[in-house]
Amino acid sequence: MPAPTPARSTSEDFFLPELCSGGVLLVVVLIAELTAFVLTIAKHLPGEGVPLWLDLARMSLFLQWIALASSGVLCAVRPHLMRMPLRQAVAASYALLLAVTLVMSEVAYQASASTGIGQQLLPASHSGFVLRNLFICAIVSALVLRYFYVLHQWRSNVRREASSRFEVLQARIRPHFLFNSMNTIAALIRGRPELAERAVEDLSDLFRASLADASTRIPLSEELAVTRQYAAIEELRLGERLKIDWRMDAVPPDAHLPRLTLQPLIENAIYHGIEPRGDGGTVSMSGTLRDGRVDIEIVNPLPPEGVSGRGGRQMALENVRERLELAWPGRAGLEHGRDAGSYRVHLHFPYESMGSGEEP
Amino acid sequence: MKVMIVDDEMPARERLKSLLASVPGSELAGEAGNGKEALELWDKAPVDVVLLDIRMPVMEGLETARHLAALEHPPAVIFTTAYNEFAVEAFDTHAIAYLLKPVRVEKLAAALAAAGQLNRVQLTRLAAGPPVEARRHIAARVRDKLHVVPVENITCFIADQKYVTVCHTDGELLIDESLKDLEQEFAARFIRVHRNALVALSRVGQLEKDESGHFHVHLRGRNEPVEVSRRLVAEVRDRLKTGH
Repeated sequence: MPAPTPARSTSEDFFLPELCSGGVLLVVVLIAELTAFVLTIAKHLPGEGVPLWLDLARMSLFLQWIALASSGVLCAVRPHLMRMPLRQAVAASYALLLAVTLVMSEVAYQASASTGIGQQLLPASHSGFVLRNLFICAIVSALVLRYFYVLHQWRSNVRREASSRFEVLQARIRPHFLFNSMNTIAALIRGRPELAERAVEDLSDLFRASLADASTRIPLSEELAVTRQYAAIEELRLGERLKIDWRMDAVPPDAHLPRLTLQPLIENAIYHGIEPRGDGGTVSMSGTLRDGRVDIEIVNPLPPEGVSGRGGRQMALENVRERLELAWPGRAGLEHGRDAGSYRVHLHFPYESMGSGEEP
Repeated sequence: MKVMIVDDEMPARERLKSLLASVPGSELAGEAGNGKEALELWDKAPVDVVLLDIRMPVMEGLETARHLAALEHPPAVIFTTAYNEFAVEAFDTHAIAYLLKPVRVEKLAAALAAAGQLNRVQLTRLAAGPPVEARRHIAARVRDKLHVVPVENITCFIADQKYVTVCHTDGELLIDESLKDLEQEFAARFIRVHRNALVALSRVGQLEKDESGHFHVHLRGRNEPVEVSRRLVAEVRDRLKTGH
């Protein structure tokens, strides 16, 4: 179980659901009834004693009592449980379930003994009856609590994934890039409207790519097109300072790769390697295909000495590495490092012309 | 009102120029691609207001503002930035004018109108700089010319009675700052070897002892060794061994 989280603000963040709500109550009743079936069938020997249906009816009545009473109690104390650390809350819920079973068993025994109803169905030993019930409850409660806990974990994972996708999207569109591009376009509109027009088109394509599902694989030609559109905007902005050397002819254009694999790497190279340099420099991207494996290398000059590195490079690289690993577990990779005045990012992945991830 | 535009991106400068043309009473009096160029240009042709981009290569905006504010007749500074910067927030925003890019012409006109009222307090704040960053250049005037020296070219700081001599690979400068402040600001790059001297860690060569028992340290890029006081010898050796 994870470490207890102190700040549980909304009631959805708690492992125990609202047991008084209809849907959840139905689940509880179902679980109780299934347990009744299992217990009855397990102890019933065909052709002996009371008929099966009678046994089942009695068992169901008893278990539903316990289930509904437990739900009521947990529902009432839920606001208190929510304020406790997770481990304590789980332990308290478990103890309450056992306590309810104890009380209900005792009530059932006494009622039956005093009224005489169902006398012949009761076991002979009072303590044996109560202990057996507690033991069964201990097992079933553990399973039910575990079920609710896992369900809750799964739901919060789904939520977290959705919000992390949003964060990745934000990380992909650097605010500086967005506003600087807008500024460039504003500057071009009067003097060179045709360039401004193209910048708007390039920016739109880039944003469309950023908003698309990043896990889909697209042909290299498409990824290169988006990367070149991105580079075109940067070239307008940085002018002479930015030179890009594209040497990608050796890689087949139908090689598939996850969307936005190359663009963030070029963006990183420009942001960290070219922008901090007064005289600019050249970013190069080269690719090879050998033995069914595509290798791509992106090289940029290092920023001048004494410039404190801009943050954020690692995050983008990690993101691309993870997505490559996700696409081809163990068969793709990304390495990076500096040598002789330049920074190199090297990635490799299998050559697959099919996009959907089947083996070639 | 004479205005200088400083931005490393040509389209950004073009846009400010065209906006400036429509603000009556203002006049473009120079443009520069980074802070160092701006300081050198200002030295030849001073202006009243500098429109200063924050993120630039060579010398970024905040450091440029700091050097400008330390001048004898400092210009008013208006920062331009593409996005709210943490660096600007380090200042009290009331003390600093800044415009978000793309700049609106009305906001530019308002900022220029207010720039005339820049007061001493604001300038002092600018000169002190944001509390965290160390300068990457030292600027000082030698015979009417402003020199801007990158910190990596500096070999040592030597304090005299009144001034501090900045020794760098191409000569010397005098600045009116205390050795103690310099030691704090450049703690990552310089180490104190004597009551009156800081030396660049990356340039330290041999440490030697002469016949009379005095210690000296040799610095790459400087002919004369610098005296090391006896009580600091152990500390200097330690820092050299660890490399920091």
